[in-house]
Amino acid sequence: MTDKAAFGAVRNTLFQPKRGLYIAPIRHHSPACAWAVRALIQEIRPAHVLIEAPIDFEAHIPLVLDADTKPPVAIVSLVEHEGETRSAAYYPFCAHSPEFVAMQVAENIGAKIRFIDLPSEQKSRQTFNDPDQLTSLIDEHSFDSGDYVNALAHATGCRDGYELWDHLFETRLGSEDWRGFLGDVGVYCAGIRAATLKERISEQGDDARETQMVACLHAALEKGGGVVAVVGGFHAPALLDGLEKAPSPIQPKGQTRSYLIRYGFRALDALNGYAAGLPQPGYYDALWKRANTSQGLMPWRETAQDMVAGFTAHMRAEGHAVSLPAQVEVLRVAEELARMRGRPGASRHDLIDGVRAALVKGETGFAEIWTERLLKYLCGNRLGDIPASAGSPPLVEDARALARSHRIDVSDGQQRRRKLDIRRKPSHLAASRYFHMMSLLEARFAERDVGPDYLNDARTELLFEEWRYSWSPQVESRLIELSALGDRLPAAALGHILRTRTSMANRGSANDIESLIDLLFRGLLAGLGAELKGFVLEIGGDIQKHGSFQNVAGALSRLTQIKASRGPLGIPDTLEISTTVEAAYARLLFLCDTLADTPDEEIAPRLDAIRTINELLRGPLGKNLDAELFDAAMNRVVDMDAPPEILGAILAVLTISGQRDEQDLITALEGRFTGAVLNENARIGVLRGILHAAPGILWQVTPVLEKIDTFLSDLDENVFLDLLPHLRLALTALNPREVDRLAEMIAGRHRFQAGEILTSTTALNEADLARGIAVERALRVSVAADGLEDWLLEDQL
Amino acid sequence: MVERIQRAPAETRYRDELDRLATADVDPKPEGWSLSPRAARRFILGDSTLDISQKFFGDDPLVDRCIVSLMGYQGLMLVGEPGTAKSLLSELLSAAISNSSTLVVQGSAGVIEDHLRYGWNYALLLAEGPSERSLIPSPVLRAMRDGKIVRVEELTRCAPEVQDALISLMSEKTISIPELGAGEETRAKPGFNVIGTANLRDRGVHDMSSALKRRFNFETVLPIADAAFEKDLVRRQVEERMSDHPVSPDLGDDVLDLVVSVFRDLRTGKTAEGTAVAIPESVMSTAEAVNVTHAAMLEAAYLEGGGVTGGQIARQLRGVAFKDDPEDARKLRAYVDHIAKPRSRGSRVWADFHKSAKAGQDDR
Repeated sequence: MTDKAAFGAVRNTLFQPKRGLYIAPIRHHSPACAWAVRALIQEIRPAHVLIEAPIDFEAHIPLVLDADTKPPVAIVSLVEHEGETRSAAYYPFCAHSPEFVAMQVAENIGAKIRFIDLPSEQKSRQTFNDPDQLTSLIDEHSFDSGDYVNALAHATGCRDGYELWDHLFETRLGSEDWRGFLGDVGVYCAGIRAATLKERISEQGDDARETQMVACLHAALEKGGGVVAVVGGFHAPALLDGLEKAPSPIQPKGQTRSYLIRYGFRALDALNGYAAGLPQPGYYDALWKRANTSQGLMPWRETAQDMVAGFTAHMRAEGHAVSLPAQVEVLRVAEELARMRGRPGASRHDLIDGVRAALVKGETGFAEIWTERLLKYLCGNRLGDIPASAGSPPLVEDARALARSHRIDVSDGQQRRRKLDIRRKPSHLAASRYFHMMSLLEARFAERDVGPDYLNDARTELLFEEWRYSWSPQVESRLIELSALGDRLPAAALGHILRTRTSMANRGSANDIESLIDLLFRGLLAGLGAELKGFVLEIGGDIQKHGSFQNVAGALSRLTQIKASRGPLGIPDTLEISTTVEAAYARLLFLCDTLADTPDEEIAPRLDAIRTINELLRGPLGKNLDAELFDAAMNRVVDMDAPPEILGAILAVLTISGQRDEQDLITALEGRFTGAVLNENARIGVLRGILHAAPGILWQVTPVLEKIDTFLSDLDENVFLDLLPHLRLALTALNPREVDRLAEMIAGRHRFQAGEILTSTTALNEADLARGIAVERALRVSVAADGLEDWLLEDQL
Repeated sequence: MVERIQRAPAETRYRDELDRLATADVDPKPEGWSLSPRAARRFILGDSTLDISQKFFGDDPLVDRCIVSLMGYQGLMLVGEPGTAKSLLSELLSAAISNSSTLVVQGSAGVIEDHLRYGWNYALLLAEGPSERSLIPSPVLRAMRDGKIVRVEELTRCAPEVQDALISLMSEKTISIPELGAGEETRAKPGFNVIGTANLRDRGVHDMSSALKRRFNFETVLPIADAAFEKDLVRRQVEERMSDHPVSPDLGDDVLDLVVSVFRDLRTGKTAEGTAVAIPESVMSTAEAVNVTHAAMLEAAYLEGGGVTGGQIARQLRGVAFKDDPEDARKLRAYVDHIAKPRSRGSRVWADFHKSAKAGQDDR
């Protein structure tokens, strides 16, 4: 399949001193490659250093090389997708990235740095599929899988491509022989490429990218003075082939908004999950630092010692102390493994194996907690920094400035907690609103652990909120995505609310009035206040078009709740909500007529709605609403042919409010109780309605209870048993206090105490006693016959 | 003439391979080891250049870790579900390292401390008093004297006080024999170490104290993850077992596929397509798959003639793998009804399997 000579040819053609061309095949984020590339550029001192990075990012080169830039950083480009800023694609740099190191050295020797890949827009379009998925602009083809890698791993006793890479290349970190090293990387990558199908290469858009790179190479060669091209190893063979053909024009840079942003090791690790770069950047960063402080004579033993010590110290801090002998055993196993596997010192997999052998006590599965802890530790959590002049988008700046003004620490990626006294301290309320605003924007910045939950009406009596927050590159990139909505945070939040409503309408779910009111709540909690005026009016409009009785009733109830609310959910005087409340009430009255045609599956929610509205109108919150209109509408429904539950509920409501005579309700009850119905359940439909919507009527209007009691008492035993499950279900609508009260009343009617039913005992008579004594005697005789009298504990009886 | 035996120890079975490895071994050897760590690895994981067969499959780094653990002061404890070749691995490791896999304590509820230290030939003891001649050294004592690996199989089946005896043996690496005189003791020579195997989840096993756990590096031997590989392994092992028989019925690829997928489905709790399956209590290991296939082959060879069918597999599955547990019988029935039945529409082997499994259930 592959030819040894062809591989050798790659090694011989990577460096062409006569032509002034040096192609450095690398793996992204590999410290060993970075070391070799630096040595190459320092020795050759070329006039041009070409980097495989999107050509439109060239504007950021001075910023990346700024003294204040502390990797990890990333260039993020905002990808317009279907007319909307949807996703950000990243090009990350860490201190040990060959690209970053090449740029640093190039600047030192005064070489011209160019980016030679296709514009980010084109490249990310090829990979764009899911807006929630991180998109990397760095690609790594099959470094860790494929037939070639698998065969090589098997031959060298490595478990996978990652171990193979470390075994073959990272162990050579610090080597002076860059020619040998890069030549080997070139051969390795040529092998991978030879084992990859041509169609697959084209499918991924590599042809176009390689054409662009070759064009840039030609352009640089023409200018003369020596050229070093730092490219992903996979492309090196294609570039060498392409150079022999006629040059094609360089693609224009295109128009994309991009920014240099802080990046973090965690994010980098996650990104590598998609792009197959080297994982656990913290580990490779430590290797790189060691190699630099020791001028290339890699002290593997000290490095492993430091890592094990660092890991166990970290574990101790987290409450998983590791004893000293165990720590020694980890190191011993790791080093012996490295020796057996023929490595200069313990590499990443040796450390993993060391931890697994020495710290695990017991049976484990494929996933194992100590390995996971180590991997997390090796991932690291460093966050980079960028110079002030980098000009992050105004929205990011605003979010950071606001955070600082609320004394929220966003200087690093550390996770922190903050407890806020939101009802008594205005400054705390302001901070809470900031957190709420960031959550509204889905910035993944803060999460509330404790606090009143107004959205679900749970624990609203709490005085304190507790938040967990951490500033991360994801927060920044999310804000960058949102920058299209505005330069200030409140503007973006409002824009986000309006955009959500529009997209709901586009999805055909504008009817979801509950979600819209949730959004309104969240907007209020975020402190948008009067800004929400337009949105409130829009909700009013949506309610006007709404066709569901129970949804409008729910909306009305929640809107009146907001209106009366003080504290965090309170609305400013300038936000007029009354018109919307009135609009909702008007719509509700209009929809009352639909109650008569309630389908079975909607009966329960509509009964709830009738109860809610009834309580609202009779309560303090409903004083501005004209209850008579509702009663009139209900009266109309009675005269229609409504389902018995609805009828019962409405009649009960009307009887309580004095609109109807109790006799109407009794007639309706009786008609059902004694009517010719097909199933027993239908007999108690009206009763169900009453219990659901206005149980109070049972103790306020005694004849109703009397009627029900008489009906049940007169029932035949069998019919009663048939009806019993339905009755029990119907009675679950009552709360415990109502159940107690009802029980007392029924007991009163039958002249006994309710408690008696529960504690009643069966009285024993003399005959029972005589039988008991006879049984005891028989037992004693039987025990005596077995010679076991001593076993009877007479004294204790 | 050499007497025929059922199963010779690993160092006898693989004598040629061990000799070849020892001859070609150039890597440094720890003191007391008969092969270097690298050669020991090649012995277990195979090496085509020296024509060494692979004997343990599925987890190469595990073997590395085991070898390195045995080079240190810690013992090696192999744990995992039954039938995952723990004992095989411990036998191979001791054959490679000590050139002897016969120093074994077979753990059971009947094991007493003497089995770990030493006992006496009581006739000689009465006649001559305590002497080296009347002493019966335990495998542990012999391993200490010779600097070899001792294996303690099924350690968790031993009573806790017997397990405790191992703690000081492993930390002191000494057995004192006061009966032979004050200060008389055996100190372990280089090369001595302990490989334990244990089952931590079975019924009727004792917990291991944390003091004992600290003296071991634990390795969990997991079932084989790759289906194609498991199939290959089952075929090879069954063929090896059948090599002594005069007839060997035809074992079709489709039958083997069926065996492996039945065992994998029931072991992992889901089919390759992702349908959920109730996991039985019975052990559904690769070793059991080999037993079932072997039994089906014997049935085909001696009772029915012809090739192995899905029906024979179903019959043996009930006898060999599903021992008497009514709950497991229900789980197997559910598997037959919901998984095997739809598969039987497109495949004769599955149809045979389904028919025979159904018939077996109706008998009960």
